[in-house]
Amino acid sequence: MVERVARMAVGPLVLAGFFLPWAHGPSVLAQESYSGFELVGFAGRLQALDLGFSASATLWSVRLLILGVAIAAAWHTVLAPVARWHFAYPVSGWYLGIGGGIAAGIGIWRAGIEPPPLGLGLWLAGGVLFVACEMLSFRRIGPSASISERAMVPVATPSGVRNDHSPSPAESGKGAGG
Amino acid sequence: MDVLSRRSGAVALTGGLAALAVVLGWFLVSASGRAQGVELTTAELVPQDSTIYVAVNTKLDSSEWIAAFDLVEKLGLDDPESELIDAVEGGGEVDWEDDVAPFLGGNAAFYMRDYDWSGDPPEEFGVIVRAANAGRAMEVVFEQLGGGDPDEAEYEGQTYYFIPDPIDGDGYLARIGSHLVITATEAEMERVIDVAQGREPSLKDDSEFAALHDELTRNFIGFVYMDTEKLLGGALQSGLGVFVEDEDDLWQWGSSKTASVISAKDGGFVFQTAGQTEASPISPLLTARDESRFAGMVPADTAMLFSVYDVAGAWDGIIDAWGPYLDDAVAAEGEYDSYEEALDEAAAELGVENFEDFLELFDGEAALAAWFPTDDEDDGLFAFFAEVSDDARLREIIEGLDTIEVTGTETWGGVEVTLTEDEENPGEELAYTITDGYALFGDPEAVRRILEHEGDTLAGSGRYRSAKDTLGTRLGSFAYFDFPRIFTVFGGDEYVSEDELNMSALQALLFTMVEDGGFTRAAGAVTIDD
Repeated sequence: MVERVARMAVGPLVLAGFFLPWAHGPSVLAQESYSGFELVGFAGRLQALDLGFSASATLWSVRLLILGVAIAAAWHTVLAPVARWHFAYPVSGWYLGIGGGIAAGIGIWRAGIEPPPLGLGLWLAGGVLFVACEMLSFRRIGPSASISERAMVPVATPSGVRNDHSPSPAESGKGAGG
Repeated sequence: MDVLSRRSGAVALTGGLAALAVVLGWFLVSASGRAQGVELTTAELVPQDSTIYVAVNTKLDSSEWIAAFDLVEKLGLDDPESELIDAVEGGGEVDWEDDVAPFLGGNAAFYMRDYDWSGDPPEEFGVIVRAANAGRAMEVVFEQLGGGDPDEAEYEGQTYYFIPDPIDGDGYLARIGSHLVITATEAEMERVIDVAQGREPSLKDDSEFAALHDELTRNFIGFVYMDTEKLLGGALQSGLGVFVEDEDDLWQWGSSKTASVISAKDGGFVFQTAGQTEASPISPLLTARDESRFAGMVPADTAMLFSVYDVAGAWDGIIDAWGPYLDDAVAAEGEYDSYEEALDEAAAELGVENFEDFLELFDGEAALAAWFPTDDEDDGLFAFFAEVSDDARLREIIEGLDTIEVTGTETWGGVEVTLTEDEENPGEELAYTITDGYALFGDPEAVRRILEHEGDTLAGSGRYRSAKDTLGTRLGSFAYFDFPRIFTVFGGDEYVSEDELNMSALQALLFTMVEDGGFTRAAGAVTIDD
């Protein structure tokens, strides 16, 4: 039950964090703090300039990577309660987990070890929860099961194989019953 | 069957997730990229009867500042952000992050309630800064003043501090919400507190201020609001009004309140100023147009184009309103007693009964275009255009002029052109033609260029269109300058100014005055590209 709640919390945590501060600006923007949402807009304002192809492509990539966090968090929010068998569940989860780790790494590289801004903290918390849940599953199922077997073989496959990511009927019943 | 339905369920879920990604991505990109504009929170603390209010956008990550830094970089400054920090930090006594950044909360303003033209220093003014970190900003002010505890006082529950000698005198400092307020007098501080607490109206509550703010772009670097009547009224009372006899004459066609902004876009810097007006004698000259007919006729390599509209429509009103002034000006020259006498003489020369008969032919656009085909400014070519209401009548007037000596005719671009002796430069020729509702007059080479031109016109050229797009308003009477073509005459291809700015990056200047929607607006755009 705890694990299930933890899995369901990942998406909302990261989604909330997307709209809260992730980082402070550099140079003349030192006092400004930026959420993921604001970073998408800031990169967009930079893109409005007459930039070369490589700079423009880099900015687009950065925007897409940041947008990916919100989209992955939204997918995770939708899939975690009822459809953890879907391949997008582990994909979005690992995107959030690994992405959060990279973002924290960049933060430490820029500012040293200090408490992260609230938004980044929520993203990290979501990522850590997902990774922790995956580790638990890994230990339960064992090292022989691949990620795809654990995450992507769904209840709904013709083989009818269940996996650890899908709620058991009993869990479903409890969930429905409140 | 069960398997199939489960598979179709999985496919439907995948489709739903894809749709969610697209919708969410689109929403986030469009919502985050929406230009927000500068919110003038400082105007909420400024007394409504202020004469001047100058605000600066202090949000350095706004699209305007990003564009401005980029444009300055194109003008040759390597890293304007770093140069700004270096300039502020100077010898190291100030640290940008600790001492400056806390003040940058969106907008900062200076206002003045009344300007004393007698020369005494003004006292009814204030500086208001929206701080990003008001607590730290207060500390910085106290540190800069020596670090001691300043004397404090209270008015209507609001604490404020006495700060010695902020700028050549004593001052008062208060923190009102996220704003820092500095005034020169205690009375002014109390006035600001009254405004902040709603006992006095603020500038932001003023409907004219709001209308002007709405009329101009909200994405600006600097904003200036001015009550010109109050400002100049003081000057007139102080005996400085030698240029007008009756100050009411100045404001009879609209409000004296104006607002101006300077902004930066991807293409260049933009200046706009606007005031609410009613129809005035010069309104016909400022008729809003989407495009200039003659910009669509001159070649793309035109270096300068000046265009006005409906001279005939403006004439009567100008004479009615400013006839006495014109009389004085003409009489001062000594040749004629009044402007009417001067016009009668001109009419006699033209062979028309009165000058208005001639002038009323010009009820459309009139323009002057210039080229510099070589690097020599003396080799400039000029052509004058004017739309005419009656081709035959104008032809009749011109052909009846005694002063014109026809030297020949040519056919250029299928149009018959008359060549005449240039009265002022003997041996040189001028050319004119009247065709298709307009008259064209100028250097024969310029007239031939226009009539035989088949390529891109100025209106279709990238540089002109970029200037128009950057300007962002309709055209009234306007002036256009193509800088690279002008600089080839004055500075060569690589024109660098004395302060090391790469002037070759300057592309064009487009300036217009236009009356549109109850506002008279002057706007200019300088486009920049490396």
